[in-house]
Amino acid sequence: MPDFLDRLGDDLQRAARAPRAEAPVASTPPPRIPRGRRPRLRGAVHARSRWLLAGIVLLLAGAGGASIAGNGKPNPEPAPPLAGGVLASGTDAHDLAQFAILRREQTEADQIPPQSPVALSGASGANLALARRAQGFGEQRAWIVPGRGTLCLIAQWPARHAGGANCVPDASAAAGQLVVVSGTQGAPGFEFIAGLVPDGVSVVSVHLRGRGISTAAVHEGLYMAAIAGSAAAVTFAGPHGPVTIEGVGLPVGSD
Amino acid sequence: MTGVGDLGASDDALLLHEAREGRSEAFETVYRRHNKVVLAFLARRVAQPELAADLLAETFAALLVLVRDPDRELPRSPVAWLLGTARHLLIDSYRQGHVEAAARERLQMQPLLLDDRDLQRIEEISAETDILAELAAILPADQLSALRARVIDEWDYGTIARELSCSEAVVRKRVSRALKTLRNSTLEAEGNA
Repeated sequence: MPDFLDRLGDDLQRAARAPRAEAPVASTPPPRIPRGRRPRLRGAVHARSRWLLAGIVLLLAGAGGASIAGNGKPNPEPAPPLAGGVLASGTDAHDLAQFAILRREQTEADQIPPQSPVALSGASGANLALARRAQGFGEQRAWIVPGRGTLCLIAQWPARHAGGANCVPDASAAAGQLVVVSGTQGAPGFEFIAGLVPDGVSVVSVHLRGRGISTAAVHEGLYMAAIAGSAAAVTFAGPHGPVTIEGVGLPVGSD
Repeated sequence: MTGVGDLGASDDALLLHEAREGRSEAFETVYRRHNKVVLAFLARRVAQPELAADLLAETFAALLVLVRDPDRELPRSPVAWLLGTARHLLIDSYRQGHVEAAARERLQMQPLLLDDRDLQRIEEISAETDILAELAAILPADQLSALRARVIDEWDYGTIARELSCSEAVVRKRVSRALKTLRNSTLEAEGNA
């Protein structure tokens, strides 16, 4: 993927070539995050999913400004709670078939570091011992954690105190609906987005509210990026055709 | 960055004229020449590289909007215009709590999306780029020294006067002249910021 200076150059070139009847200036201002405001829990979670996220406790490393975020939209049916919070003992065959990241050998690099403690309740059955960390990213990091009939995504961007966790049923994860969106600290107007897509998907398009589309590269089935604006939807070419995941961001006006 | 000494302001200005005539690659050339210096200028003033990238995109979009408007005068020194506009947008972003996107929206440009390699690249560019070499192509040496100390290094006038072995009044005059030189090229920027 070309670096952002090349991508910006391409965008400018396209704009320079375009006919001169330009779009009127948008009346909707970009999302505003006042400076110094602490990122808050992004509550774009449908009521049906709340039990699942309520059971997730994610403690990001570092003092102050740690954010917790999750995003269950577009509201896939949550898996039923498990009595006693029984953890998954292994990865479901369905998930193994869908995601190469779960088929590969687990290594030390997959461990969630102790200085970044994460605790998931038993509600999803997520077992941190089964986690795989997506390779190919630098400072931004994400783990896929198998549960009992569920898959969880933990995504973190420590430098911006951004990130969160989300768990969805296996079928929803296979459909690309396992997405985390959070605000970032100290970067007004930016959001951090991460998500899981099926094997074979190399790039996703992130659609922003009122601000067009941009693309993010996929590594080991995961995409992560900082976006200038507010995410509205994610699209990609899935194994069975085009996929659109609507409503990945915050509800309008919730900022 | 291509050698600044060989590619003067007049050359850039000519490219913008060509861009206005419909040669989009001429604008691309201006962008390629100066994107790093503008990015470095911004990245050294904000704590987050993603904000620097956002401001960079809006700055060049603002220049393109100007180029595409035949009623507006083209800047005589595009790099000075770019730095002046970047500075205005930066100040406004602090005031408003977000980076302006009007020019990009007007041009229907795609939003920025940055991964961590992009952010690392911004920091590298910030560390590598010689902003003063760019300004040296525009300003006389005495004005450059004064402007550098006042605007780039953000010294107070007394400190600059001691450093340059002259009076504060002389420093103020040199800075004033340097800013005037830039302002002559950045009058359009005032309207954009």
